[in-house]
Amino acid sequence: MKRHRSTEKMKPDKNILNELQEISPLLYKMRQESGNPFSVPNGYFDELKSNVFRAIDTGLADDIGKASFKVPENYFEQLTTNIMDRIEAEEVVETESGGVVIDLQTHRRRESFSVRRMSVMAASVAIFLLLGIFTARFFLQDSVVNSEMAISQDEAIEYVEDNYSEFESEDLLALVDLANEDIALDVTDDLEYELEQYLEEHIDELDEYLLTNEI
Amino acid sequence: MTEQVLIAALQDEVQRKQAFQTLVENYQERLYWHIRKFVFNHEDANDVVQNTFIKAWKGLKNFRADSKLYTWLYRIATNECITFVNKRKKMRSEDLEGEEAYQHSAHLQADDFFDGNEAERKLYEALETLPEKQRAVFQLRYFEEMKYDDMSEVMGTSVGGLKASYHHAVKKIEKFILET
Repeated sequence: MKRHRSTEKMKPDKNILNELQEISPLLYKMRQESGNPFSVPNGYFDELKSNVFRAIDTGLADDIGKASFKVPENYFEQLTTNIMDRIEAEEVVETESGGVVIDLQTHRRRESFSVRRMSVMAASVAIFLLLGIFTARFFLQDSVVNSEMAISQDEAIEYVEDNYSEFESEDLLALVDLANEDIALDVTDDLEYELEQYLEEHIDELDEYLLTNEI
Repeated sequence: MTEQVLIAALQDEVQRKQAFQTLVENYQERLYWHIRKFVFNHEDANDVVQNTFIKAWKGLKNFRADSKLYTWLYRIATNECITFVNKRKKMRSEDLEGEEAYQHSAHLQADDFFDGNEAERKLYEALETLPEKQRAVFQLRYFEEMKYDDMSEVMGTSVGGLKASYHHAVKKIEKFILET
């Protein structure tokens, strides 16, 4: 196959070569000794011009940069309807073992979990919240508790919320047992109310956690 | 035809096509070789250079006469090269799924249209290890002997930044060649 090499022989720029020699004598030497190792089929550049103009003339140039993908007609009009139909068809149903049914149409929730599961959930949440509180009390001395460095209840709750996924349930239970023995927990009416509010607000996360983890 | 005359013709609807033919004739080889040293393979270079001229044609209406045709064309070509190489890398990494990244330079020796020696092959292998923009800076200076002021228009980077980038690129390539 006949090959064509670059016919251009530019006069080397001395400044650029001197710069290269200063940075790397090796690359300077390579630059001096090597040519263009690439070639093309003979006549390629004569064809190139024709090919470019053929693309321009036939309108192919207009396609460059456009989206390459097409969708069926009326696809986006149908899409919303299709999605809603699928959601309805995939409603979570009540299972024999107990689960959560969520009616997405009216956002009503029918919970049919056992009393035992409810107790476990409440206990888990209580553990998460109390961990933050008694951790602060456990490690801080009485003189410090009322100082400016004391961790507020909100801060403890926030800490537990942000990090609860890292707590192992066995560790939490062990800590609660320990806490119950050594520390008198001050469970006020406010705390109970906050627990109930927390349950209400995070019921979805707890559901998901229980569905994926066995307690 | 002087550059000013050519630019004026390119911006005139009647003369545009004829002027563009002249533009292609004047720059096709230079742009092709610049692209070829980026993508290595002739078929790929052919695609990229055609895309470059087609984009130039489409961009003629927006071409500002205050920049040179030369730097404008090299800007389009270099951007096309970077886009092409990035796309090819992404496709290859999806195909290989954790295997070593495919190096096109490793296949140069088997390419019918490459007859460089071992040192040249190593140089192109080293080029593949550079980040694309830094590689472009190196190639524009080393192969095309482009002035920094012109390169600044092509790359959209300050002259100082380009000098630093080129310096580092040369050092990296030198180190690669010496250590492999």
